[in-house]
Amino acid sequence: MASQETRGRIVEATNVDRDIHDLLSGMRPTEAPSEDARRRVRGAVYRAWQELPERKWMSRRAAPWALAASAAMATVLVYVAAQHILVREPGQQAIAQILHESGGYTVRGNGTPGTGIEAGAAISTSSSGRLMIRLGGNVALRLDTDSQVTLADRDEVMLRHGRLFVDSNAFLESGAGSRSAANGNVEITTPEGVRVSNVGTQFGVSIEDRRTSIAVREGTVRMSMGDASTTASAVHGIGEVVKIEDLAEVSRRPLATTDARWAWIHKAQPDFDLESASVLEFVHWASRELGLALVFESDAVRLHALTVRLHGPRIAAVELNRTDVMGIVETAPSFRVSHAKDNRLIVGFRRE
Amino acid sequence: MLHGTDRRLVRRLLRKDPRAFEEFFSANFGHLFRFCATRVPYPDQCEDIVQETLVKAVTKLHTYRGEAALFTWLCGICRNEIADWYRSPYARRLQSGDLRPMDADESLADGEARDTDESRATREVVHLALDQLPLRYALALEWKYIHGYSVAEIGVRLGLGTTATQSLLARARRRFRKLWVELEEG
Repeated sequence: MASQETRGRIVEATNVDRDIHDLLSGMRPTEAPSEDARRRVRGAVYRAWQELPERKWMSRRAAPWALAASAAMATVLVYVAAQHILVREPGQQAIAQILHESGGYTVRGNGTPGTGIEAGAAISTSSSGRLMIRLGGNVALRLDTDSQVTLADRDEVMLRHGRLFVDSNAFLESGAGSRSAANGNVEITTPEGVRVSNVGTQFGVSIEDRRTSIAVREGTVRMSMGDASTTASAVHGIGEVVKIEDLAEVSRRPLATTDARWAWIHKAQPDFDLESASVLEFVHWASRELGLALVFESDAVRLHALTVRLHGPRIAAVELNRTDVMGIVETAPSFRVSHAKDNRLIVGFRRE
Repeated sequence: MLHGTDRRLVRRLLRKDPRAFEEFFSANFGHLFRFCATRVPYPDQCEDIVQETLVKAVTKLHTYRGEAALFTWLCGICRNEIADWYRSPYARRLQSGDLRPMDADESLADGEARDTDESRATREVVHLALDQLPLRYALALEWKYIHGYSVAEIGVRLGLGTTATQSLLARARRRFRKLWVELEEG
């Protein structure tokens, strides 16, 4: 027989249990997620997971000869693929050029190797294929695996499915030392009728079922959906991801410019050849790959960075980190590089 | 205590075993969605938050040490994602009523399940209390009282035996009650 004290404890415990039961059972019951939601989330997570082992493997340094061999093989593959796939009709002008290819891809439409792809071409990547395409000016378009685009013109691209990334300031033209590099405007459209346009920025667009996601890594993009439009921006190292379905914004979240989800873009571009590149060329490339805002302490630093040359092997962006960038630049004795908390890469003169 | 089964699953995931991915996703997606949905009453936003959580988790799998069950580890990430979401301007606009997304839960507005100010306030205090509890306590209470799982089922999810689960539930109840009183009085 239980003592009075024990019975008291049991009564108290029962009361506590009942209180909590009453409180918590009054919470909103939650329904199971829809099959559509499950499929969309699974697709996104699966892609991220697929990236994982390669990223771990690539974190080890590859031998320079292996990198050179890979680059040579990629060049040969691009040339051979282009020879077999592209058929050019005379008189048309190329609007784009494939700069880098890994895995497989096909082009339906007009184009030739060397002079590039003409308006109206449809480009598809295979399940392991990635591409980097120069659209003209400084604009680079990167295509992820299992993606398809139609190049309507050098400033208009229809993403039919998959994922792409636009960098409108990807290249430093020869002699570029000015603060404002030439920018390119590009409009990405989707079959659902979403139009995404930019002025001088980095952004990605992806399609999953009927949902379009726009991720901004630099600057601002405008999205038009029927009569409505909205903008998304990246400020102080924090960009945004906007999701659109049935021509309406359904969600918006912050995304750091250095987030691991940008990592796929590194695989869709050629290695950077450090040998004889200027400091300016290198930091421009590295900062854009890493999602950092490049800042020169003065015009004199920028000008000097244009003239000083670096030496070294080819570098894969997937292997790059901030420490490497600092170390490489500081092999040139006059420079000092620091990294600010708001994701700025600051280049200045070394102080004695 | 280390969670060997979960550690093995993570090792297989890191070795890119496709069956491991299916196991990982099937075992966690639905539960994580429900975990999120008790805190964020917009299914579309939940989908987004759970996707962010799982994407972040797979990119950090190499940091999982098996010190907590894999699902508990995922809930920790999800809790941070939910907090980030509530801090976003979009969420603030939703909360203030400036925005009404397509997927807002209509049951909160219909006659049968009309949400009174009092019940909304109660829910907020419950959420606040749950979020201040250690994650395992919060999960155990939610599973038992919101989702109606048995002690044995909760034990499996937490990687504990029945007695240890009962003991954990008792401690969780005590902590919850104390927090509840503090929040009600505060």
